[in-house]
Amino acid sequence: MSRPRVTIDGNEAAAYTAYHVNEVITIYPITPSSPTSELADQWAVEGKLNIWGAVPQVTEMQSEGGASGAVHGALQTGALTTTFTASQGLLLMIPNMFKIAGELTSTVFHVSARTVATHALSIFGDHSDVMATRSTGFAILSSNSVQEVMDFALIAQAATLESRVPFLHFFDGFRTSHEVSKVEELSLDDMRVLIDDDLVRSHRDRALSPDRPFIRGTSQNPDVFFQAREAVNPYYLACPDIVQKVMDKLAQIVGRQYYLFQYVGAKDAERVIMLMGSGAETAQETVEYLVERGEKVGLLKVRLYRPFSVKHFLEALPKTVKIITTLDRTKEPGSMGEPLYEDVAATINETISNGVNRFEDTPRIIGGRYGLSSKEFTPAMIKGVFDEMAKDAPKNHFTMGINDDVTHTSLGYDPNFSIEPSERTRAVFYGLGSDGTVSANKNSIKIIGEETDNYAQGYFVYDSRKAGSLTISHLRFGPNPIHSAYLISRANFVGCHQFSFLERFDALNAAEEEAIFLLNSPYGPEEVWNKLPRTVQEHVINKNLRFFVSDAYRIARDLGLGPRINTIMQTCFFALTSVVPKEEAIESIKRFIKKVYGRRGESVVQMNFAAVDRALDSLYEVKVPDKVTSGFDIRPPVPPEAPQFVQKVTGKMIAGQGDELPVSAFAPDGTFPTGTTQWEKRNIALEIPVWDPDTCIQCGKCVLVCPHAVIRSKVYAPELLKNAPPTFKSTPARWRQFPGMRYTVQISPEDCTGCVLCVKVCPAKNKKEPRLKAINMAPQAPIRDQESENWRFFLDLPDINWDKLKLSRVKDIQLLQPLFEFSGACAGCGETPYLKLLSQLFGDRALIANATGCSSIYGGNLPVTPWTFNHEGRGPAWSNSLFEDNAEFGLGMRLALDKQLDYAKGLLVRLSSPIGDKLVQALLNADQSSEAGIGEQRERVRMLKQKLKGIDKPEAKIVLSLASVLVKKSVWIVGGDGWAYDIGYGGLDHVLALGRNVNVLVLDTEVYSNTGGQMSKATPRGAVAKFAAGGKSTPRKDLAMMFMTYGNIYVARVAMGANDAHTVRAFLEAEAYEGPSLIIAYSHCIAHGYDLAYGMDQQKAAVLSGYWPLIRYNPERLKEGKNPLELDSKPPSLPLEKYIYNEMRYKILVHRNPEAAKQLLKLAQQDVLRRWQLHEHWATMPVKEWGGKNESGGRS
Amino acid sequence: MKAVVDPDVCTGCELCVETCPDVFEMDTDKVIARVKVDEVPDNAEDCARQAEEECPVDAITVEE
Repeated sequence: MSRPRVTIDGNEAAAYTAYHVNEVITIYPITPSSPTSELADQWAVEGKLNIWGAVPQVTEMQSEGGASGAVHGALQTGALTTTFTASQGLLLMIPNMFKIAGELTSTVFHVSARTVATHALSIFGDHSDVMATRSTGFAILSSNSVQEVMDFALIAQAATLESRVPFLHFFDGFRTSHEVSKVEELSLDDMRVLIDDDLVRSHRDRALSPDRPFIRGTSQNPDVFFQAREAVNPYYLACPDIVQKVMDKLAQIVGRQYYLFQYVGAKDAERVIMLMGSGAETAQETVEYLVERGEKVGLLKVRLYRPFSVKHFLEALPKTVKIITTLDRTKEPGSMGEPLYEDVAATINETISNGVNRFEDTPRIIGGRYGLSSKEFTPAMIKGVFDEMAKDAPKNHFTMGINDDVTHTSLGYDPNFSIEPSERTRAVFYGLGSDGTVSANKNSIKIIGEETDNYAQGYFVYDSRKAGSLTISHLRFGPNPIHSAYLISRANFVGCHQFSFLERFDALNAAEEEAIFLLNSPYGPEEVWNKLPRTVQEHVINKNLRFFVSDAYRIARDLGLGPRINTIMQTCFFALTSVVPKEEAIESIKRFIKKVYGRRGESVVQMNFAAVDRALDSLYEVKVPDKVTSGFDIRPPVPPEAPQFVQKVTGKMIAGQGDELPVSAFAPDGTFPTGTTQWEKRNIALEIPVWDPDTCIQCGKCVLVCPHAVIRSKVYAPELLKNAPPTFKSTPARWRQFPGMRYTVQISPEDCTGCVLCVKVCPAKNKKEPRLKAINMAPQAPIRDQESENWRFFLDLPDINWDKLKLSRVKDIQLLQPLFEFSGACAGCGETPYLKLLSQLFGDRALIANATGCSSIYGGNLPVTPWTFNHEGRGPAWSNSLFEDNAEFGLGMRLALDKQLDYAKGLLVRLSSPIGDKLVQALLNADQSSEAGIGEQRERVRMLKQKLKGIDKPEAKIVLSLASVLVKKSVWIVGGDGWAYDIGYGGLDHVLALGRNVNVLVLDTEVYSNTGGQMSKATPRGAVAKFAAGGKSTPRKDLAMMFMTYGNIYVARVAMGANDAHTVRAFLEAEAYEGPSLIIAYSHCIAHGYDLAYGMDQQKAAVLSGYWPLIRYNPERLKEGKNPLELDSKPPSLPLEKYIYNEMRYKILVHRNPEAAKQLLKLAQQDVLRRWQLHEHWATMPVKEWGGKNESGGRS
Repeated sequence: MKAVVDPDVCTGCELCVETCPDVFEMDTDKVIARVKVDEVPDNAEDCARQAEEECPVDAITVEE
């Protein structure tokens, strides 16, 4: 029977099989596993049936802990149940995994294996998560490729039903989960052959039921626990043979024969390497290449890692083996070796001590680590390992792929070793995150994979910045199966979809001799040459490249496609390569356009059709001169004035050469300097705002809303303008407290993302030109140099003295230096303006605990980080612990500060005579309720430190180390709604209930933004999100109201775009409140589906509609006998639909399911009115009876 | 000349108080601006009009 060939990625392959053989699926988003869950949810909404003709129940939980708990419950009630996860998510499942395995329950967890966060978080792949589950009792089955993912998902399901041992089926995060590959699709009949319905019935019969009651999950004592635990042994002993039996059965129907330990290589191999995961694919290619050349080498792919079958392992190894190298994609510090090494070493030793050595010689065993966090693992590295094995004294416990210059573990290798077959098309494309390059390439793979006999592979590398991110697509096509699980370093086609990339990094380094180079260029074939940096010209000439240009942006603009150049560049690719005949390719592209854009309407389809036709007319070959003529080169990644660490380490990473950095470049504990975004000038905006001082009313709103802190304002003395650059703009400051001073709004041209938020919020109108405002967009390139010079001059102007500012006013606060700047957040981000405000107000004394999410990524993702420091060297101290524990993490900071403060105060009293009683009393009784008071205390602490240095007492040394806590600190707990409403809610509740002085800021985008837009409990009714493909049917949770019920928690719900003064007031009150505070901040987000230039307008509409009532609940007000709740916005005056239907997340349901949309809109409108009434009622309640003065306020 | 601040619209940014302190002041209780004079003094007519024009939320009306 012939089966369809499909081009899909590993996650989809896992979802495909798992969906069809399960009844209940509980999910929670985590990169890189989320797409698996999203597909399951989407298919369930579409009514796709499993092999028994039912639609599986797909349910999102509040955490992976919750998901595994629900899995356990569903299993115990007899349903075939699964879940998908990775990394920390898998770790949260471990407690339940012990239970599920201990109860011999059939299930399969599908894991897109990802690095567990240690010194840093990483979303990329290795086996540290899977290896952490070794003791749970789950069987562990490893897939190495997309095809295997589909097959092994089924093998695992069949084997778990028969063996009763639960399975963890894993594949490499990103490298396999996100690799698009052509595979043969299993049919539902194939699945029915492997899944034995009798075993399904047995599974159901073992379930809990009140009709035949028994108890499972007892509590046992020393008398029996041990024996009862050993009762599972027969099941584990039987499991490997069952898995092999299932593998054999699959082979009979699909022809792909798998073994528990699969050997590839020379029959008489002397050197054998062992590994699991995608690296085994690359190893297979390499071993086959070496064996062809006569080398006695082999590869043992470990498929069933647990239960570890000694019998199958020994049988699979050639008797001739002299040395075995285990390669682990994980690190276990302090162990005598990594997991596979320990298993293999113990097994071989055990065999030999038992006197049953079946090998000709006793094999030597060495082990090494490779590929942590998706570090490249190439044929060259594998060859390097084999070369090491041939030595007399090979290095053990080595690392491969890095330069360890500290403990010297690393092995060398020849990076020029390559085994890529010549008949393969290897194409590399450089694109911007927003230009559609990746989606076009995915379509190209489908066109080639599904419409030709060629095999196809696509892998996509993203940098994790959200705005202006670089995407690199690696595509391979060829007549033979592709096992190359590594990036392309020798491309025969290079497409550069952004001209500006050429001056940022060496894009043509990956081009091989005579490759084709396609450039999206605003310059035509005649003039482009002299616009290229020297390095690019050198590559083109020295490698004899064929060089083509297309002005894709102009075509896209002409056709109304905006910045979406994907169709044009894709057409050019097919025209220039011969993978598919040109005419056929064009036909296929058009078919895909219809499929992909069809639901957006016929006009979009026609625009893209036109793009295809126009693309070919405007593709030109450049006549390459024979000499390098350029007077400029690729820009250095950081300017020469950057600090040394930034030069040596950060700059390398920015330049894309981080792989070359040795171990010694890094602090061993994950510490990095802050304030490094200022050194990376990304120049991603085509247009930037320009200030018009004559129209400006100096309200500070543009400065406030700028998500990237590229717009700043200062008030300064006029004489400072003496050395100003000629184009520097200035106007008299309109502040009563600053008579005669000057005012400037300055933009950093090279850091701007061009989001236009500032222009949209500007309330001033130019009288002469009504379409203009006091800040207007203009092309960046012509003014870049001039404005950069102005920016540098502006930065050197002195900052204003806090004492003179009225901190209740937006315009005054916007004179303060932001200590959060140039983050990698999306252009127009709705979260970052709040963080910037926080940094301006409290940054120089703030400790920030940041939940994992968007804010932890744009806040802490290397190479450069945005939290910075002021001219005195003070700035926010920032850290990210986990996703689920952030409130607790922040509380810990507060507990430590409070304890240290108590301790320091006690010691001060004891040391009051040597220090001086006056200073001690002043320190102890300082009023730090204002910035002036805090400044005075800082000065006292400085004096104290000086005095302490002269006191020769042990206590003096202790106080010296604690002295800085005497200055008031501000603890901020920051995170998104996924954290606050879902996974971290329990902790948040506990922390707020404790009454300690912590401030919580929830950046509420109403969706899991960072993992790609999954539903949270903040998602409103009627909105479509991932995991809510049919529109969310239940109302959102009102976190503010819930926490108001405590009575002693300061709670505010703010929306900067609706009322910025209210936002400022809430921040100040929350921080001033000596107890727990919670601010819930409406944050518009790209996940909402509209042009974020209108983000602040949508915030306003949310408030006007009554959907987002602005409130402040201040327990302090009770002391004055007032109701703590102030309702700061007006009753609903805008129909809800006028607000929500500006956003695609709502509108899409109207297209997909108008009836449901109508019904949900009605309910959502009712929600608004119900909530409004509740707010109003609360705000107007008489409080006399419950307003005792001592009742309010945080802790006493 | 009379000036009016719409309390439902005002956000309390204080720009008008800054521009025209003889006509506008802050209502510290409600944290919004209010008009402190029945009649705009002659010498403050210009700044009152400027405040009207510049109010970021169009909360101010000035009438003859």
